[in-house]
Amino acid sequence: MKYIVFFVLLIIAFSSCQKDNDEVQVVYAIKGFSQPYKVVYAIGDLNKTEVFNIDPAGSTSYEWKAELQAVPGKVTYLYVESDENISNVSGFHATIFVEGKVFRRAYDYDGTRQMPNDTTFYIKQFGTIPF
Amino acid sequence: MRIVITLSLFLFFASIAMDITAQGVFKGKVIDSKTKVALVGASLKLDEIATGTITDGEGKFSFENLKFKSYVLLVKYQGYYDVVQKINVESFVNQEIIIEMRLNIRELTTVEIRDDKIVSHPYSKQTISRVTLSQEPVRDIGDFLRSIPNVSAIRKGGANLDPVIRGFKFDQLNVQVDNGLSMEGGCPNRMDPTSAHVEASDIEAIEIYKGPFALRYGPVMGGVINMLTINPRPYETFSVFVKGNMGYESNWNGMRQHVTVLGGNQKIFFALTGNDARYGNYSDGDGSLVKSDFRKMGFTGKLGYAPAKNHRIIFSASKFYARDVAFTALPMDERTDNTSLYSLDYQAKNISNTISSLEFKAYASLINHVMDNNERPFGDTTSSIAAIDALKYGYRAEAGLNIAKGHLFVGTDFYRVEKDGQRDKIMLSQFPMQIGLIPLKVENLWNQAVITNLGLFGEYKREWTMWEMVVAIRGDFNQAYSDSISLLNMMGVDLLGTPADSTSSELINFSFSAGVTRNISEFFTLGASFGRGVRSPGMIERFIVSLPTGYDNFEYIGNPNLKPEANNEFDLVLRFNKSQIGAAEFTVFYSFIQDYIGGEFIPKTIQKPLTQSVLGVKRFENLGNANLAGFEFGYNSPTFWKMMVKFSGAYTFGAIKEIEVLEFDANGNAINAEMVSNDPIAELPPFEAKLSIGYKLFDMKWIPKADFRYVAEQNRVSEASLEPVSPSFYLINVSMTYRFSDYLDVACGINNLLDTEYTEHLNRRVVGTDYRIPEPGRILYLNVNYNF
Repeated sequence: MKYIVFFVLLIIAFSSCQKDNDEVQVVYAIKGFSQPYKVVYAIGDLNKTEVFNIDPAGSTSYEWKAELQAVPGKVTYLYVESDENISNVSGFHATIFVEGKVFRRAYDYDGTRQMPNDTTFYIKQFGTIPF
Repeated sequence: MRIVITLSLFLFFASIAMDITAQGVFKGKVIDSKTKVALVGASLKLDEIATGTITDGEGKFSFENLKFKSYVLLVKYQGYYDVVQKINVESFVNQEIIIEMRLNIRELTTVEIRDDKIVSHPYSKQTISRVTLSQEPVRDIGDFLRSIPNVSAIRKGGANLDPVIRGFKFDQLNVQVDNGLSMEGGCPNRMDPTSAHVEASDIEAIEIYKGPFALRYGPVMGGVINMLTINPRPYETFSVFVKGNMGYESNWNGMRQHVTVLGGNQKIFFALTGNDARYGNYSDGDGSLVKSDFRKMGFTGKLGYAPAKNHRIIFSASKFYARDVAFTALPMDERTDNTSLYSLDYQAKNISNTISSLEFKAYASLINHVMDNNERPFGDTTSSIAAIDALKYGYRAEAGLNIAKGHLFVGTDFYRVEKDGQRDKIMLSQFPMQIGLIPLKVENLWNQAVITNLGLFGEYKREWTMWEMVVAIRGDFNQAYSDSISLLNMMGVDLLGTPADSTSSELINFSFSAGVTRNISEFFTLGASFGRGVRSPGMIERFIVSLPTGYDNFEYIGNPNLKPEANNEFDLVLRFNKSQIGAAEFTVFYSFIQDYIGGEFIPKTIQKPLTQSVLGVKRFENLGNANLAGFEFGYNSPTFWKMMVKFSGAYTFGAIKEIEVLEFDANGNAINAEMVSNDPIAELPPFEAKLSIGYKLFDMKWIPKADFRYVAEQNRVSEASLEPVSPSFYLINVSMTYRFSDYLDVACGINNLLDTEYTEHLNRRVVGTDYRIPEPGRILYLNVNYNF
C-alpha cells in the first residue's frame, strides 16, 4: 500500500514539473526607404551590435526583416540612419514585433544630425520584451 | 487523649522524616516494542529531578533517593517515539518496570543536534525541529523565522527575507549552515542573504542563539542562526529511506516539492535531496496584486564514511538556482542566482577520557548573482544589468576536552571572502556617438575586494549541584583590502577617488562572555549572562561603490577605515518547569553598542548621487553609541496534555545616542541639518504577542489548531531615516494535521483567515512610493509529508 501511495505522489510531483520554454519571436522590420540606409539592431547583449548596409534599390515597397528568438526581459534595440527624408513616404514604418504583435513602431524619423552640407536622419526604437 | 495526641504527633513527624530521608528507588529496562531488544543509551528524565539518566549496556536504568510520590517519566531515544508516563514511587517497594519504545521511521533520518554540553543556557537558545517546519507552508526560511519571539525579517520582495534578531541584522548576525559553513551573498542590496541560499525543505533543525554569547561559532554581535540540513548517517544494516513533501499555497498559486533519499550501511552512507518551488504573485487583503513571483530549484549530494566507531567523514556538494525573483522594494530584480556549496566534515566522539570530541570542517561557497531593472518602467530608457561573483571559503576546527570537572571547547576558524562585480548601464535613450555603439556606462560595485578573518576561541563550562557556569573568549584578526574604490564619469574623471593603497585595514578584536545559571527552587532556574561581541565591518560597509543599499533613500559609499562595532549585552533569563503545569521562560536584555555603523550625509557639492530620485549620498561611518533593550516571554503546556497551549510575546526598543537629521526642501535638496539625541534605531519591530491553541485527538492522529497574533502600532520610528509609523493589526490562522500512518501525514490550513490587509513594520517601501509592501491576504495551504 505504501508503495502505491509513493508512486502516486511521484507521478504528481513529476507532472507538476514544467519545461522552461519562455522564448518569444522578435522581428525587426523596416519598409519605405528607397535609398540605401544603415541598420543597427541587437537583442539581449547590447554590447554586440553590427551595422548592416541595406539597399532597397529604389523601391519603397522593399521590406527588410530580421527574426530572432529571445526570452522576456531582454532588451530590444533598433537604430536606423539614412540620408533620405521619409517624412512624407506613405506606408513607412520601422517596427519591432514581439510574437507577431507591434511592440514598438516609428512612422517618421526621430531626429537629425546636422553636418556641413549633409543631414542624416535617424530612428531609434527600443524596449524590454514584456514578461 | 494525651496518648492520641502523642501518637498523632509521632506519626506526623515520622511521615516527614520518611519524606526527608526518602529512599525510594525506581529502576527498569528500556526495550524495542517489536524486537524486544534492549535500547542502550536511551535518556530518561523524571520531572522535578534536575538530572536524568541513560540506559546501560543492557538497557537498564535506575533512579535512587526518590521521594515517595508521583512523577512523570519522559523517555527519549533517537529513532523512536518518546514515551511519557506517570509513575508512583511507593515506600518499601523497589519499582522496576519494562518500558517498550515504538520505532519512528521518520526520526531515523533526523539530524543530530550538536551537544554543546550546556544543560541550562544562561541566555536565550531555541531549537526549531523538522516537525514544526513540516507542518507549516515554509517557502522561505527568513519568512518562517518571524514566528519566533523577537526574531523578525526584512521583506523586499516575495522571497529571501533577511532575518533580524532583537534589532540586530545583516553582518551583526552570524548566519551559518551545518555548524560553520557561511556564505557571502552577491547582492549589495542583500537580495540574497545566507538564509536565501538554503532550501527550507532541506532543513532538519534551526538553532537560534540570541546575544553575543555563543562565541564558538564565529564572530558574533547580535546572535547566531545555525541552519542544520539533512545529513546522512550510518545504519546497522544496509537500508534506503525516502522522504519528501509536496506543498501548495493558494493566493500565490505556489507549488513546491522536495524529496530526500537516505541510505547506506555502517561504513558508507549517503543523502540525496532535490527540490523545486514556483510561486506567482500574491494579492493582499485588499485584493491588490503584489509582484512577488520567484522560481527556485536545487539538489544536494552527501556521502559519508565511518572509518571507525565514533568517527565520521562527510563530503557534501550542493547546487541551488534561483530565477526571476521579484523585489518590488528594490530598483532591480534577481534575474539569475547560481549557488555552489561544498564542505568536508570530520567528526569524532569519545576519543579518550580527556578528548570527548574533535570536529573539523572545510567549506567553500560560490555565488554568481545577476540582477537587472528590465521589469521597471525606467528599464525602458536605461537598462541596468549587474553581475557579481562572491567566493567565500574557510575552515573550522574544534576539540572538546573534559578538564577540571568541566568541559572545555577550544578551536580556530578562518574565512576568506572575495567579491567582484559591476553594473552595466545601457543608455538606450541617448543618441549613439558612433553608429553601431549603444552608449554604455560601466560602474564597479566591488573592485576585487577581499576580507579575511582568523579566529581563536575557547568556551569552558562547569556544573555544580545548583549552579552551572559558562565562560567564553574569542580573538579575531581581520584583514581587508580592495582595488581602488572609484567611479568614472563619462569624461573618465574619478568621482570617488579612493586609491587601492587607502583601502586596506587590519583589525584585532577581542570578545568574551560569561554566564551562570542557578536552580533557585525546585521549579525555577535563573540565568544571567554578560558578553561583549565585536564584529568587523562587512563588504558593503567597507567597499560598496555608491548604491542605495540602506533603509533610507540615499546612495551609500563604503568606508575602508571603519572601526569594528561592539555589543556589550546583559541578559537575565528566568525559567519555570513543572511537568503538571508546563514550561515558561522570561528574558530581559540590555545592549550597549559602541561605534554603531550607519550613514553620514555627504553634501551634494562634494558628491552628487548617480541614481535618480534618491535624496543624496551617505558614507558608512561609526556614528557613536547606541542601545537596545527588550524582553521575550513564552509558555508551553505539558507535552502529555491533550490540549496544546503556547503563548509568547516580545518587544525591543533602542536608540542612537546622537545622529544627524536632515531637512529637505520641496525639490528634495537638503537645506538644514541638526544633531538629534536618542533617535530610535530604524527597523525595530513593535510589540507582538501570540497565542496558539490545539488539541490532540484520536491518539494524536488528528490535531486541529488555531493561532492568534497581535502586533502593536510602531510609532518609535527613526527621524534620521525618515521612517514612517506602522499601524497595529491582528491575525487569525487555523490549521489541522492528520497522520494517516507512520508513512504519510498531511497538514492543511488557512493563514490570514479574515483576509486582513496588513503590512509588517520591517517590510521595505515599494520603490518610488511611501507605502510598505503589503503582506499576503488569505492563503489556503496543503502540505503532504511522506516517509518510506
